[in-house]
Amino acid sequence: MTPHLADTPVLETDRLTLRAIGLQDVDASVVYLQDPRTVYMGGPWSAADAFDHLCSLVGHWAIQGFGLFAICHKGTDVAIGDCGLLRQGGYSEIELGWGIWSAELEGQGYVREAAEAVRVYAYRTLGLSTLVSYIDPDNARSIALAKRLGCSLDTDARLPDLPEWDGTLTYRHPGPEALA
Amino acid sequence: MTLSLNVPQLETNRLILRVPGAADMPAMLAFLGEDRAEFYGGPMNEHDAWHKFSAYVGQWMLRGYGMYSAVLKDSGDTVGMAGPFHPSHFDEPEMSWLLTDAKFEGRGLAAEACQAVIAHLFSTLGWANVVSYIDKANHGSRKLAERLGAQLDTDRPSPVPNCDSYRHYPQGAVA
Repeated sequence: MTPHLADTPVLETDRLTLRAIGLQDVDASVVYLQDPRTVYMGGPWSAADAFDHLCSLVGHWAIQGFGLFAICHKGTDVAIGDCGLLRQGGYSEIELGWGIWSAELEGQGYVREAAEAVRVYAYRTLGLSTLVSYIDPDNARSIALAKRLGCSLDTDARLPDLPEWDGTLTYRHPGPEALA
Repeated sequence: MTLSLNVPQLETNRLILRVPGAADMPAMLAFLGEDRAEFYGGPMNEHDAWHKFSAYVGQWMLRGYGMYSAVLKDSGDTVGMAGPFHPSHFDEPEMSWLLTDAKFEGRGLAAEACQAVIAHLFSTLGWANVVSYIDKANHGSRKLAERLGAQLDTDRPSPVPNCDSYRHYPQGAVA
Protein backbone atom coordinates (compact mmCIF):
# COMPACT_ATOMS: atom_id res chain seq x y z
CA MET A 1 0.00 0.00 0.00
CA THR A 2 1.30 3.44 -0.89
CA PRO A 3 1.87 5.61 2.15
CA HIS A 4 -0.74 8.29 2.44
CA LEU A 5 -1.67 11.10 4.75
CA ALA A 6 -4.62 10.39 6.97
CA ASP A 7 -7.25 13.02 7.62
CA THR A 8 -6.51 15.56 4.90
CA PRO A 9 -9.56 17.81 4.51
CA VAL A 10 -12.12 17.62 1.70
CA LEU A 11 -14.00 20.81 0.83
CA GLU A 12 -17.25 20.95 -1.15
CA THR A 13 -18.68 23.85 -3.13
CA ASP A 14 -21.70 24.01 -5.45
CA ARG A 15 -19.82 22.58 -8.41
CA LEU A 16 -16.51 21.34 -6.99
CA THR A 17 -14.79 18.96 -4.63
CA LEU A 18 -11.38 19.97 -3.29
CA ARG A 19 -9.06 17.30 -1.87
CA ALA A 20 -5.32 17.17 -1.17
CA ILE A 21 -3.17 16.97 -4.29
CA GLY A 22 -1.57 13.53 -4.51
CA LEU A 23 -0.72 10.35 -6.34
CA GLN A 24 -3.82 10.37 -8.56
CA ASP A 25 -2.74 13.75 -9.98
CA VAL A 26 0.74 12.81 -11.25
CA ASP A 27 -0.09 12.56 -14.97
CA ALA A 28 -2.28 15.66 -15.27
CA SER A 29 -0.10 17.75 -12.99
CA VAL A 30 3.16 16.90 -14.74
CA VAL A 31 1.56 17.92 -18.06
CA TYR A 32 0.27 21.18 -16.57
CA LEU A 33 3.61 22.07 -14.96
CA GLN A 34 5.25 21.93 -18.41
CA ASP A 35 2.61 24.29 -19.84
CA PRO A 36 3.85 27.81 -20.69
CA ARG A 37 0.80 29.06 -18.73
CA THR A 38 2.77 28.27 -15.53
CA VAL A 39 5.25 31.07 -16.30
CA TYR A 40 3.87 33.25 -13.49
CA MET A 41 4.40 30.57 -10.83
CA GLY A 42 8.02 29.64 -11.53
CA GLY A 43 7.36 27.39 -14.55
CA PRO A 44 7.31 25.95 -17.07
CA TRP A 45 9.21 22.99 -15.70
CA SER A 46 10.93 20.18 -17.65
CA ALA A 47 9.24 16.78 -17.31
CA ALA A 48 11.85 15.72 -14.73
CA ASP A 49 11.57 18.92 -12.74
CA ALA A 50 7.77 18.80 -12.93
CA PHE A 51 7.73 15.48 -11.08
CA ASP A 52 10.11 16.88 -8.44
CA HIS A 53 7.89 19.93 -8.09
CA LEU A 54 4.82 17.77 -7.58
CA CYS A 55 6.75 15.75 -4.95
CA SER A 56 7.43 19.04 -3.20
CA LEU A 57 3.77 20.11 -3.31
CA VAL A 58 2.67 16.75 -1.92
CA GLY A 59 5.39 16.86 0.76
CA HIS A 60 4.11 20.32 1.74
CA TRP A 61 1.02 18.70 3.26
CA ALA A 62 3.12 16.42 5.46
CA ILE A 63 5.44 19.21 6.60
CA GLN A 64 2.99 22.06 7.16
CA GLY A 65 -0.29 20.24 7.75
CA PHE A 66 -1.90 22.18 4.92
CA GLY A 67 -1.21 22.52 1.23
CA LEU A 68 -2.64 22.59 -2.27
CA PHE A 69 -5.99 21.05 -3.04
CA ALA A 70 -6.78 19.47 -6.36
CA ILE A 71 -9.93 21.05 -7.79
CA CYS A 72 -12.28 18.36 -9.16
CA HIS A 73 -15.75 18.57 -10.64
CA LYS A 74 -18.14 17.25 -8.01
CA GLY A 75 -18.61 13.53 -8.39
CA THR A 76 -15.24 13.01 -10.09
CA ASP A 77 -11.69 12.60 -8.82
CA VAL A 78 -10.07 14.20 -11.88
CA ALA A 79 -8.20 17.41 -11.12
CA ILE A 80 -8.90 20.42 -13.34
CA GLY A 81 -6.78 22.81 -11.29
CA ASP A 82 -5.29 23.51 -7.90
CA CYS A 83 -5.98 25.92 -5.10
CA GLY A 84 -4.64 25.97 -1.59
CA LEU A 85 -2.39 27.25 1.14
CA LEU A 86 1.37 27.49 0.77
CA ARG A 87 4.17 28.35 3.12
CA GLN A 88 7.40 27.45 1.36
CA GLY A 89 11.03 28.38 1.91
CA GLY A 90 11.56 32.06 2.59
CA TYR A 91 7.83 32.84 3.06
CA SER A 92 7.01 34.97 6.08
CA GLU A 93 3.28 34.25 5.89
CA ILE A 94 0.78 31.89 4.28
CA GLU A 95 -0.22 32.30 0.65
CA LEU A 96 -3.49 31.39 -1.03
CA GLY A 97 -2.41 30.13 -4.46
CA TRP A 98 -4.29 28.79 -7.46
CA GLY A 99 -4.02 27.53 -11.02
CA ILE A 100 -6.41 26.12 -13.63
CA TRP A 101 -4.79 23.29 -15.55
CA SER A 102 -6.09 23.98 -19.06
CA ALA A 103 -6.94 27.19 -20.89
CA GLU A 104 -10.34 25.81 -21.97
CA LEU A 105 -11.47 25.74 -18.35
CA GLU A 106 -10.62 29.38 -17.68
CA GLY A 107 -13.35 31.97 -17.34
CA GLN A 108 -15.94 29.74 -15.69
CA GLY A 109 -15.40 30.88 -12.12
CA TYR A 110 -13.96 27.59 -10.90
CA VAL A 111 -10.90 29.10 -9.25
CA ARG A 112 -12.93 31.81 -7.58
CA GLU A 113 -15.33 29.21 -6.21
CA ALA A 114 -12.40 27.11 -4.95
CA ALA A 115 -10.49 30.07 -3.50
CA GLU A 116 -13.52 31.25 -1.53
CA ALA A 117 -13.93 27.77 -0.04
CA VAL A 118 -10.22 27.50 0.85
CA ARG A 119 -10.33 30.93 2.45
CA VAL A 120 -13.26 29.98 4.66
CA TYR A 121 -11.42 26.77 5.60
CA ALA A 122 -8.23 28.72 6.40
CA TYR A 123 -10.04 31.17 8.67
CA ARG A 124 -12.67 28.95 10.31
CA THR A 125 -10.90 25.60 10.60
CA LEU A 126 -7.22 26.53 10.75
CA GLY A 127 -7.86 29.79 12.59
CA LEU A 128 -5.65 31.90 10.34
CA SER A 129 -6.13 35.64 10.67
CA THR A 130 -4.82 36.80 7.28
CA LEU A 131 -3.87 35.50 3.83
CA VAL A 132 -1.95 36.89 0.89
CA SER A 133 -1.67 35.98 -2.78
CA TYR A 134 1.67 36.65 -4.48
CA ILE A 135 1.05 37.62 -8.11
CA ASP A 136 3.34 38.50 -11.00
CA PRO A 137 2.55 42.05 -12.22
CA ASP A 138 2.05 40.67 -15.76
CA ASN A 139 -0.49 38.08 -14.64
CA ALA A 140 -3.60 40.08 -15.46
CA ARG A 141 -6.01 37.16 -15.00
CA SER A 142 -4.86 36.45 -11.45
CA ILE A 143 -4.83 40.14 -10.54
CA ALA A 144 -8.42 40.44 -11.77
CA LEU A 145 -9.40 37.40 -9.72
CA ALA A 146 -7.66 38.74 -6.60
CA LYS A 147 -9.69 41.95 -6.97
CA ARG A 148 -12.93 39.99 -7.43
CA LEU A 149 -12.02 38.14 -4.21
CA GLY A 150 -11.86 41.50 -2.43
CA CYS A 151 -8.07 41.63 -2.11
CA SER A 152 -6.12 44.85 -1.92
CA LEU A 153 -2.54 45.55 -2.84
CA ASP A 154 -0.23 45.44 0.21
CA THR A 155 2.97 47.29 -0.54
CA ASP A 156 4.35 46.73 2.99
CA ALA A 157 4.25 42.92 2.86
CA ARG A 158 7.55 41.04 3.11
CA LEU A 159 8.46 38.92 0.10
CA PRO A 160 10.94 36.05 0.08
CA ASP A 161 14.37 37.68 -0.11
CA LEU A 162 15.35 36.37 -3.55
CA PRO A 163 16.07 38.17 -6.83
CA GLU A 164 13.41 36.26 -8.80
CA TRP A 165 10.75 37.62 -6.41
CA ASP A 166 11.60 41.25 -7.19
CA GLY A 167 8.52 43.09 -8.45
CA THR A 168 6.06 40.41 -7.29
CA LEU A 169 2.82 41.97 -6.05
CA THR A 170 1.25 41.02 -2.73
CA TYR A 171 -2.55 41.05 -2.66
CA ARG A 172 -3.97 40.79 0.84
CA HIS A 173 -7.30 39.03 1.30
CA PRO A 174 -10.13 40.35 3.42
CA GLY A 175 -9.75 38.96 6.95
CA PRO A 176 -12.10 36.64 8.81
CA GLU A 177 -14.18 39.52 10.21
CA ALA A 178 -14.74 41.10 6.82
CA LEU A 179 -15.98 37.78 5.43
CA ALA A 180 -18.15 36.85 8.42
CA MET B 1 -0.08 21.03 12.90
CA THR B 2 1.61 18.41 10.77
CA LEU B 3 0.26 15.24 9.23
CA SER B 4 1.98 11.91 9.51
CA LEU B 5 2.43 9.14 7.00
CA ASN B 6 1.52 5.55 7.77
CA VAL B 7 5.03 4.14 7.34
CA PRO B 8 6.59 1.92 10.03
CA GLN B 9 9.85 3.27 11.40
CA LEU B 10 13.10 1.30 11.48
CA GLU B 11 15.39 1.13 14.47
CA THR B 12 19.12 0.51 14.94
CA ASN B 13 21.32 0.63 18.04
CA ARG B 14 21.64 4.38 17.99
CA LEU B 15 19.07 5.58 15.45
CA ILE B 16 15.39 5.85 14.68
CA LEU B 17 14.72 5.92 10.93
CA ARG B 18 11.39 7.50 10.09
CA VAL B 19 9.60 9.32 7.29
CA PRO B 20 11.01 12.87 7.21
CA GLY B 21 8.87 15.80 8.26
CA ALA B 22 8.76 19.21 9.86
CA ALA B 23 11.06 18.19 12.73
CA ASP B 24 13.91 17.47 10.30
CA MET B 25 13.54 20.66 8.31
CA PRO B 26 15.91 22.98 10.24
CA ALA B 27 18.78 20.48 10.04
CA MET B 28 18.12 19.70 6.38
CA LEU B 29 17.75 23.32 5.26
CA ALA B 30 21.00 24.16 7.06
CA PHE B 31 22.75 21.22 5.38
CA LEU B 32 21.50 22.11 1.87
CA GLY B 33 22.77 25.66 2.33
CA GLU B 34 26.32 24.53 2.99
CA ASP B 35 29.24 23.52 0.79
CA ARG B 36 28.94 20.01 2.23
CA ALA B 37 25.79 19.64 0.07
CA GLU B 38 27.79 19.90 -3.16
CA PHE B 39 26.89 16.33 -4.20
CA TYR B 40 23.18 17.00 -3.51
CA GLY B 41 22.79 20.04 -5.78
CA GLY B 42 23.93 22.49 -3.12
CA PRO B 43 24.79 24.85 -1.69
CA MET B 44 21.39 26.37 -2.43
CA ASN B 45 19.19 29.18 -1.12
CA GLU B 46 16.38 28.65 1.39
CA HIS B 47 13.71 28.57 -1.31
CA ASP B 48 15.43 25.82 -3.32
CA ALA B 49 16.39 23.92 -0.17
CA TRP B 50 12.78 23.90 0.95
CA HIS B 51 11.68 22.51 -2.42
CA LYS B 52 14.39 19.84 -2.34
CA PHE B 53 13.57 18.70 1.17
CA SER B 54 9.79 18.77 0.65
CA ALA B 55 10.30 16.74 -2.54
CA TYR B 56 12.15 14.09 -0.48
CA VAL B 57 9.08 13.99 1.77
CA GLY B 58 6.52 13.96 -1.04
CA GLN B 59 8.32 11.18 -2.92
CA TRP B 60 7.07 8.80 -0.23
CA MET B 61 3.48 9.42 -1.30
CA LEU B 62 4.12 9.31 -5.04
CA ARG B 63 6.52 6.34 -5.10
CA GLY B 64 5.60 4.45 -1.95
CA TYR B 65 9.21 4.54 -0.73
CA GLY B 66 11.76 7.22 -0.04
CA MET B 67 14.56 8.52 2.10
CA TYR B 68 14.21 8.14 5.86
CA SER B 69 15.42 10.74 8.28
CA ALA B 70 17.93 9.31 10.75
CA VAL B 71 17.43 10.60 14.27
CA LEU B 72 19.73 9.93 17.21
CA LYS B 73 17.81 8.12 19.94
CA ASP B 74 19.60 9.85 22.80
CA SER B 75 19.41 13.48 21.61
CA GLY B 76 16.66 13.58 18.98
CA ASP B 77 19.09 15.23 16.53
CA THR B 78 18.42 14.66 12.83
CA VAL B 79 21.86 13.37 11.84
CA GLY B 80 21.05 12.63 8.22
CA MET B 81 18.88 10.89 5.67
CA ALA B 82 19.17 7.50 4.00
CA GLY B 83 16.98 5.61 1.55
CA PRO B 84 15.90 5.16 -2.05
CA PHE B 85 15.74 8.49 -3.91
CA HIS B 86 13.79 8.28 -7.17
CA PRO B 87 13.33 11.40 -9.31
CA SER B 88 11.62 10.86 -12.66
CA HIS B 89 14.82 10.89 -14.74
CA PHE B 90 16.24 7.84 -12.88
CA ASP B 91 15.22 4.47 -14.36
CA GLU B 92 15.46 2.90 -10.93
CA PRO B 93 15.50 4.05 -7.31
CA GLU B 94 18.88 5.10 -5.99
CA MET B 95 20.05 4.26 -2.48
CA SER B 96 21.22 7.66 -1.25
CA TRP B 97 22.51 8.97 2.08
CA LEU B 98 23.80 12.12 3.71
CA LEU B 99 24.85 13.44 7.11
CA THR B 100 23.43 16.86 7.97
CA ASP B 101 26.50 18.15 9.81
CA ALA B 102 30.26 17.44 9.82
CA LYS B 103 30.05 16.78 13.55
CA PHE B 104 28.14 13.55 12.82
CA GLU B 105 30.85 12.22 10.50
CA GLY B 106 33.31 9.50 11.51
CA ARG B 107 30.98 7.76 13.97
CA GLY B 108 29.58 5.10 11.65
CA LEU B 109 26.13 6.67 11.71
CA ALA B 110 25.65 6.71 7.91
CA ALA B 111 26.71 3.06 7.71
CA GLU B 112 24.33 2.13 10.53
CA ALA B 113 21.43 3.91 8.81
CA CYS B 114 22.22 2.50 5.37
CA GLN B 115 22.59 -1.09 6.61
CA ALA B 116 19.15 -0.93 8.23
CA VAL B 117 17.47 0.63 5.19
CA ILE B 118 19.12 -1.72 2.69
CA ALA B 119 18.19 -4.75 4.80
CA HIS B 120 14.59 -3.48 4.83
CA LEU B 121 14.57 -3.03 1.03
CA PHE B 122 15.77 -6.60 0.51
CA SER B 123 14.01 -8.52 3.27
CA THR B 124 10.70 -6.64 3.64
CA LEU B 125 10.18 -5.04 0.24
CA GLY B 126 11.83 -7.91 -1.63
CA TRP B 127 14.07 -5.80 -3.86
CA ALA B 128 16.68 -7.90 -5.70
CA ASN B 129 19.34 -5.16 -5.63
CA VAL B 130 19.67 -1.40 -5.43
CA VAL B 131 22.13 1.06 -6.95
CA SER B 132 23.97 4.07 -5.51
CA TYR B 133 25.28 6.80 -7.83
CA ILE B 134 28.45 8.24 -6.32
CA ASP B 135 30.40 11.22 -7.59
CA LYS B 136 33.98 10.38 -8.49
CA ALA B 137 35.08 13.19 -6.13
CA ASN B 138 32.94 12.01 -3.20
CA HIS B 139 35.57 9.90 -1.47
CA GLY B 140 33.63 9.55 1.77
CA SER B 141 30.57 8.06 0.08
CA ARG B 142 32.71 5.83 -2.12
CA LYS B 143 34.38 4.37 0.96
CA LEU B 144 31.03 3.84 2.60
CA ALA B 145 29.62 2.07 -0.47
CA GLU B 146 32.57 -0.30 -0.41
CA ARG B 147 32.17 -0.84 3.31
CA LEU B 148 28.50 -1.69 2.69
CA GLY B 149 29.63 -4.35 0.21
CA ALA B 150 28.38 -2.57 -2.93
CA GLN B 151 30.10 -3.44 -6.20
CA LEU B 152 31.02 -1.15 -9.06
CA ASP B 153 28.43 -1.73 -11.83
CA THR B 154 29.87 -0.73 -15.18
CA ASP B 155 26.96 -2.34 -17.11
CA ARG B 156 24.42 0.24 -15.99
CA PRO B 157 26.15 3.63 -15.93
CA SER B 158 24.86 6.45 -13.77
CA PRO B 159 22.46 9.00 -15.29
CA VAL B 160 24.17 11.59 -13.08
CA PRO B 161 27.26 13.14 -14.70
CA ASN B 162 30.62 12.27 -13.16
CA CYS B 163 29.11 9.50 -11.02
CA ASP B 164 29.81 5.76 -10.84
CA SER B 165 27.14 3.12 -10.21
CA TYR B 166 27.66 1.01 -7.12
CA ARG B 167 25.21 -1.86 -6.75
CA HIS B 168 24.15 -3.41 -3.45
CA TYR B 169 22.98 -7.04 -3.30
CA PRO B 170 21.45 -9.07 -0.49
CA GLN B 171 24.06 -10.87 1.58
CA GLY B 172 25.06 -14.14 0.00
CA ALA B 173 23.56 -13.24 -3.38
CA VAL B 174 25.81 -13.65 -6.40
CA ALA B 175 26.21 -10.51 -8.48
